[in-house]
Amino acid sequence: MEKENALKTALETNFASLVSDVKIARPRRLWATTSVANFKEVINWLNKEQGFTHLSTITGVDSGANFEFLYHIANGGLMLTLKVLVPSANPTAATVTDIFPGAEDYERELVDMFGATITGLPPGNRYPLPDGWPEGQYPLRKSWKPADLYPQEENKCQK
Amino acid sequence: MPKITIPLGPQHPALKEPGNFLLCLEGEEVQSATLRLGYNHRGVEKAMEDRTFIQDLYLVERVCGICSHAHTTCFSMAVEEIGGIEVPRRGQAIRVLVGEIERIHSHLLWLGVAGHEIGFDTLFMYSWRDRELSLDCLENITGNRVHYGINTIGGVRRDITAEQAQNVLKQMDVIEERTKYYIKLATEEPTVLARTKGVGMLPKEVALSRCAVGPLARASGIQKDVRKDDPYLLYSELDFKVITHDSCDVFGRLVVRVFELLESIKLVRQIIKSLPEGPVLAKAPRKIPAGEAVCRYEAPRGEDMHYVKANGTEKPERAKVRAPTMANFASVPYMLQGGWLADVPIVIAAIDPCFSCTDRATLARRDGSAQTLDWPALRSKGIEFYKARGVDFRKL
Repeated sequence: MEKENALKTALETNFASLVSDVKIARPRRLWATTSVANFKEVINWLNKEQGFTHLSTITGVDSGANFEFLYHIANGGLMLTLKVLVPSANPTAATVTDIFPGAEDYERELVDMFGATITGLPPGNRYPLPDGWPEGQYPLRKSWKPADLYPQEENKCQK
Repeated sequence: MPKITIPLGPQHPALKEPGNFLLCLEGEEVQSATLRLGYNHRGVEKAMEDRTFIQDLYLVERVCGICSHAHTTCFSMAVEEIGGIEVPRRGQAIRVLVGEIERIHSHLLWLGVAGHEIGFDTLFMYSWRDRELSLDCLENITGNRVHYGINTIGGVRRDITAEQAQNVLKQMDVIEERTKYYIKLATEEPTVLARTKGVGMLPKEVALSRCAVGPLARASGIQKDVRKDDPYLLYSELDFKVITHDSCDVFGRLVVRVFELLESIKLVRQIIKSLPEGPVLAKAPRKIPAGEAVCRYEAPRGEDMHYVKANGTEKPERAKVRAPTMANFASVPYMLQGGWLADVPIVIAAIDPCFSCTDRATLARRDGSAQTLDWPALRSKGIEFYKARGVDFRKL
């Protein structure tokens, strides 16, 4: 647990005002919360100074007033999930493709499934929804139900 | 020489799954490649929010038809972590056993596909014949060749008998002998070397920055294996090597996979030799307390990751699946650039892509409005589709 404790202390001292709720859930699993304004700074520091070179994925979670974008970043077996709180009224976040070029499709998924705006994301094909998908339909938002798009499906999706 | 753009896929690019690769060619040389994925998107993650944890287990099993055990194990481990459920050691051992036999069948399957892509169909026939042995083992233990349905929250659903264990050992002897033959073939056969050496180069730094996983990363000299880095189940007690290669090409990926077959056989023997006694299943509650967990699993194709958020009910608040192929697609355009058109299929196949995993699970239209397109209509639809994307076939 030495590595975990060291990282926790480093996060708390370097980003006292920016990062909150740093916790060690179990060996090799850390969680921390930050705001959308400062998260790039934290990710950059983790990547450049702490050896977190692997972004496993970005998970979007709809928790009502906020969307949570979870950046699962790993340094070997050590995995830190950085929870970035993004207001759901205006879900805009900066791209991390300048730090992790492999993040492009994960960010496109946030755009398609949550209606997020990712500033700085290079142009390219959408992912994963089809080209003809109607505007303003974001399937992973809690308010979205399959019946919104396919009224004939109502009552069939429930068991 | 003028540049031309040709679409490869979405129907069966290199293998029998849908994905679209728009290749810009100068002569036979690939200048750039653009990916379009999502043809297999089935909305699994949304569907999981509407189902109970047990129902979800059967849904995630169907995320992939090859590494189904990887997904169910990873999902159950995440749920067990949130619920504080301790899986009995015998249950863990059976999960490892099925996981490693699954790796053997998956790597042998890949070897066959790779052989087919380089025009070596004898290798395809041989390795798929031998793969049947591992599928027989799985059928014998779990009752199914694929979609084993052995995992459940809290452990596994079936115990294994001494006869079944003996049967697995017997098959492993045959698979080991065949694997040694494949190692010789992969490293000495001139046609294999000619088609794989220096093809689809992915330097270590690029593999690192594009977050490649599994055999793709290991063939670029990166020591990355979740079983070692972030051990789960009983892996911290087992003896095995992480196979790496520094040639950074398709040849390296081939070598890594065939040697991994030997490591998996070694793991299967260790597990059977020291199979712990006791129950295989801990009773799990239907309702999982509120909490969240991230779990990683080394699937045959690399790091599989599941995120689960529970809200105290019997259904998850959110479940996220990130299959290994999704992580590896970011490296594909780089590997294709500067290569030859004829090498495109093997380069794509060398990441052992699994499109269904990548796209996961939406909606089939059931309003009865079936539409049948005849050949001219289908053809003009295709032409219009590409025209809208700047590719004009009318000149051809």
